Amino acid sequence: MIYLNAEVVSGLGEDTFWTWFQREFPSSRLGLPRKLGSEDIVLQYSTLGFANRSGKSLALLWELLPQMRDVLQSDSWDSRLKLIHECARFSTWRTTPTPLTSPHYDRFGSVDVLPIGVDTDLFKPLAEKRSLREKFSIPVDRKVGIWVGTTHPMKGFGRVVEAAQRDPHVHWIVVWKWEAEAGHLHGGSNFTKVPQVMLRELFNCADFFLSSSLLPSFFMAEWEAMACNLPIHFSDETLVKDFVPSPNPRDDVLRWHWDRKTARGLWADYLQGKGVAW
Amino acid sequence: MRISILSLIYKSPRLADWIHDSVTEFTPMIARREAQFTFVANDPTEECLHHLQSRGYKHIVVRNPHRSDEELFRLGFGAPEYMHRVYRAYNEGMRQAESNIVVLVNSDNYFSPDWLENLEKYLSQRVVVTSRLVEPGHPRHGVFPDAIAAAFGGTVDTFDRKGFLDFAEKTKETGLMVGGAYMPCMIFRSVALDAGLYPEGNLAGRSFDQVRRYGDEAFYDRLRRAGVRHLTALDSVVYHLKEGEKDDGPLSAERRKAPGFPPPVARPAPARRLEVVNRTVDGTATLGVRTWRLYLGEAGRRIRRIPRSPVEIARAILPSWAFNGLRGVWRAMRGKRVRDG
Repeated sequence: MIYLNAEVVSGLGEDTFWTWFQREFPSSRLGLPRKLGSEDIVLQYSTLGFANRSGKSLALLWELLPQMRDVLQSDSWDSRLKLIHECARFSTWRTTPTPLTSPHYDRFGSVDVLPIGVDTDLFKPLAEKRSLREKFSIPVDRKVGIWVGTTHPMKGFGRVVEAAQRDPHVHWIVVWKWEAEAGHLHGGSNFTKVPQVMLRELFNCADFFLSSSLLPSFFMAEWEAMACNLPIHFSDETLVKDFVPSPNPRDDVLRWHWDRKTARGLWADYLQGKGVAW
Repeated sequence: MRISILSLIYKSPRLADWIHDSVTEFTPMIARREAQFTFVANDPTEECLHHLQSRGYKHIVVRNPHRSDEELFRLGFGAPEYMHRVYRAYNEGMRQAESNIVVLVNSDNYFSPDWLENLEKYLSQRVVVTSRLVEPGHPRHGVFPDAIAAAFGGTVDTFDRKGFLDFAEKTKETGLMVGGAYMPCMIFRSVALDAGLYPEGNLAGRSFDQVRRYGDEAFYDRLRRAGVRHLTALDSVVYHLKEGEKDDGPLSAERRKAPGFPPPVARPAPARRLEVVNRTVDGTATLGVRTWRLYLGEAGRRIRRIPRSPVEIARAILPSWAFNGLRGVWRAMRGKRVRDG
């Protein structure tokens, strides 16, 4: 049995790793059991700390707090980092989504890289760019950039504003994750809390995605944009990222095994190798 | 350097390479210079010493006085004689260790990923942590108490590396067991020194050949008396060929006769072992009150502090009438023994 101990399963009603995993591994359950059998495992979201159960556990070290602390030079997240480190230290195994984040945790033991997975059946290139732009009242004859994020400093919204001022010929689509952390870009097409199908369409309206993040790791929205084969432009070309996207970033997603079909196989093989049955 | 890993060696270059390669591969702390692997060359042969030097393996040399059986017996030590030198060498290794944490391993151990990190995470001044041993068994020595019996080869040549590593991944789980095997073990050097280290031999009974207590058991007795608890980390999995240097060779005659699983344990399990407590820690690197509560279920809720003796456990989990009744019976029996002389 696989137990999924999530902090938030799906905050915006979107299809997340958790909801996808439950579909792919139907016997898996949300939550933490009182006891674990010898063939059970808990997939523990790192901010929840250590799952104090005897048995197999896998720490999902997906949070970017270690990078945020390094880049933003702040101790604001130390109490959450303590929980993350406890989770990394006492779990049986550790996983990060890409090799770039592994060094933050290798002092606790070996770290395995497993993809979170992106829905490449949903996020894919669409042919009807013109009609999609008309649908969302986006100029059909201008170069269009898209950005997705919040006002959190790590997302680098200030860099989007700078880019908009530097090149006024570009029209900007700005997608805010939710109301609580939403800003506004004057002159751009601002959207808040959009469903995943609509996000796919907005990606397909654009000519490029602006990655303005201050952090080395790609955000999920960036993976989804790449799955739509949207070229990625960087605000900071010197920032070392997980990889440099090629002109066809969808190929990169597939090469990194982040498509859900391949990801499912990798997760299944991984768990089987740990003696887990489901 | 935080951790010193010590292995004895005296004659086998093959085993020296075997353990050096294994410990280096599965201990990234060595590359990060947080841990150091050192051979304790114990009365080494010229060939062995030359091998250590030529390979650049870090080592210290221990030369022991060779005492007769009679001399050892007068000192309180029993058979076999070589265990006197083995325990002396481990003690010397711990005395000379450059780190505050020492890890003792056997030269015929093979390690698995995270073996060292998973010992360290449970270590405290009140705990000696040992690895979960996997053993193929031995025609004479059987399988060590609490080791997992699984055969992945009995010699360097027949060792099934992939088989063992796959098995270790499937077997390991986060958790602790009270007691267990005695090596590999991790302990604070100061704690070991304060406890008096190993006795320099097995403790003799009425004759040299009668062993009253094995040396490693006696060391752990000393630790226990000093308030140091023996725990096994179930996620630190280590293989033990059980074909030490004494048996080293192409294939010992005994092994040829009994290549599979051996007869049951030749060495009896320690007499006063606690029940196996397969529980995880709550981040405090010891079996805390919360763990005992988990272990004892509903009854454990009455526990306010960690029970330290069978009497305290009984008092905690039994209804008072049952506990008082048992105590009365025990006192009556003790009184009868005293009266009967």
